[in-house]
Amino acid sequence: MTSYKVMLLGDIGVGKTSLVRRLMYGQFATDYGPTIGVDIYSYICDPDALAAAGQPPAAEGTELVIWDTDGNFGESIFRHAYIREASAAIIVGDATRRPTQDSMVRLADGFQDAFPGRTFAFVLNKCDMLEADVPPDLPEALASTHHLFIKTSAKTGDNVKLAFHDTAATILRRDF
Amino acid sequence: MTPLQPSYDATFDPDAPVTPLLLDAVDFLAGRELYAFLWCDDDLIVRESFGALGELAPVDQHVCRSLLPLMGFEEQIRALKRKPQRTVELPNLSIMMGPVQSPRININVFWRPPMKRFLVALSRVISRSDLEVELNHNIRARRIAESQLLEKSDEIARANRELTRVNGDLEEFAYVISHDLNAPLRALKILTSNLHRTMGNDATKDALADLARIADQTRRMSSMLTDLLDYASIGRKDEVMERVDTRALLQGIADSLPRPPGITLALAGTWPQIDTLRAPLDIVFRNLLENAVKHHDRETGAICITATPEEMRQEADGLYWTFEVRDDGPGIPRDYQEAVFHPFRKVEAAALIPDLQSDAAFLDDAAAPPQSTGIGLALVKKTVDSVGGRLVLTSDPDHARGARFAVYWPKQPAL
Repeated sequence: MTSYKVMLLGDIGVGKTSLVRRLMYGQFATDYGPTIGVDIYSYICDPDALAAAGQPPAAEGTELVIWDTDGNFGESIFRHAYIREASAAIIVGDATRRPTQDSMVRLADGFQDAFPGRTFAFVLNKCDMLEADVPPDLPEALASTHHLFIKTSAKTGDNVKLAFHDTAATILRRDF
Repeated sequence: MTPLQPSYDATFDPDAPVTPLLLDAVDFLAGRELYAFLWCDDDLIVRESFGALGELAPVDQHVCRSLLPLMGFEEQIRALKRKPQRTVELPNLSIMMGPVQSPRININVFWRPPMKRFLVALSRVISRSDLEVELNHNIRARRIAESQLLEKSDEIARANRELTRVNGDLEEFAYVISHDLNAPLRALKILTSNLHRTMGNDATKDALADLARIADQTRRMSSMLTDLLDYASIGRKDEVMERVDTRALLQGIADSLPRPPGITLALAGTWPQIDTLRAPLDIVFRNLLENAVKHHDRETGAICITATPEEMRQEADGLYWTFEVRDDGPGIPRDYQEAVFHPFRKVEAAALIPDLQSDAAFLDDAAAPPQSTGIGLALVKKTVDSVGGRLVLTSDPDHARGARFAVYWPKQPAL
């Protein structure tokens, strides 16, 4: 089994814990408490989902060690021991709160500075709360990004598995 | 966490069994509510495991493989032998084994001479009381509310910027249109006049009537364009503050205003001399008085203009001079009291406010009575708004005749 450390980053209340719990346990609740410190999850990737993401699964299996961080860290996370040897980051924002999307851009910049060349994905969560056919007014850096950008809903489960498997596939392609 | 400080003395024999040091470690860690401790060899393989959470790191497995948070810290752990005063410290972690929240732990890795193995301690996070968790809940709720508020503020700011831009474009459009359309209109008037002259005595009665209608409509359109130009120009001109004798200004307007002999204009109250913008003030009173005269529905009537400087109105944003124009005309029904401040909107009920259509002498501007284009009150409102004042209309024709326009003119008008 090859393991890769993936950081879940984003402002308070954007749904990081909801995303990882939807992935791990297929659950969604509205009463999760704030993450204090870090919660660490081990997720074994689904070979079929990896293949669907364009990456032939490794024979020995692929494990994501997901670090669900406390949103209070903000950009100070990059100075913390927690982030050491991260293979990738999933940077989460709230589709209904523009300031959290601005934070996504800052966190992406911080991650690129700390880990040049390593992959990260933008995940815009809570898309179920957007009005149908009204695209969110995103920061320019997000709207025109060439990095992975996935709209999810932890509530409905839409694209949650895809977000983690696309990230895993990118890690495998880059062999980090 | 304070680095482990063994209590042995300097004469300690490095070849002696490590038991005293181990006891020191246990004593130290017990004070930190120890869950488990593990001994790892130089290859970081777990050799011994003690305590309730020992199952997290089975014996004979690589410690970083079983204790996932240590993944990536291998080099740092091995470096402890070069810098034994250090500790690899990962505080406040929860290794999730299922949907139920696992205990929060601190992971500390030590090495002290003459230990042969690394000591990995898993201790309970004792700083997170229920109160602190509650506090974090509150902080989270506040942060979310703050960012939602910021989002709304940004939305309003964006909408305001867009509104300002659109208004600017509209004013620019109105200005250009009204200015540029005057040229072909002037040509139309001249050509109509030439046509009338050329036809001379040969013109039929019907042709002359049609020419008269063309001239009338041309004049009407010219008035509308002039008014539109005035309307679009408000706020564009560079006005300067000057000393204004308000009684003299109002008297001048009243004297120059054409009106039926039965309509009287009277100035009442104490009229101040003020430092203000003369032209906007002139526009406001000229149009209010013209409106009162034009739309009066009887042969006799009274219009009264009052100044009450001693009752200078104090509002949150400053001081205002108070003026009032009151008439005994037909009044303005409540349903129309907003519409009358829009350009080219007039109260349609002819019985209330008759539209003074021209039966002017053919092509004789000087002889034509004043045309009502329906922009006068819009000019007043926009002008008062542009200087930061307020205009209040009071009228209730169902109960009493007349209308009252109160003008709150700022002592410090916006430039």
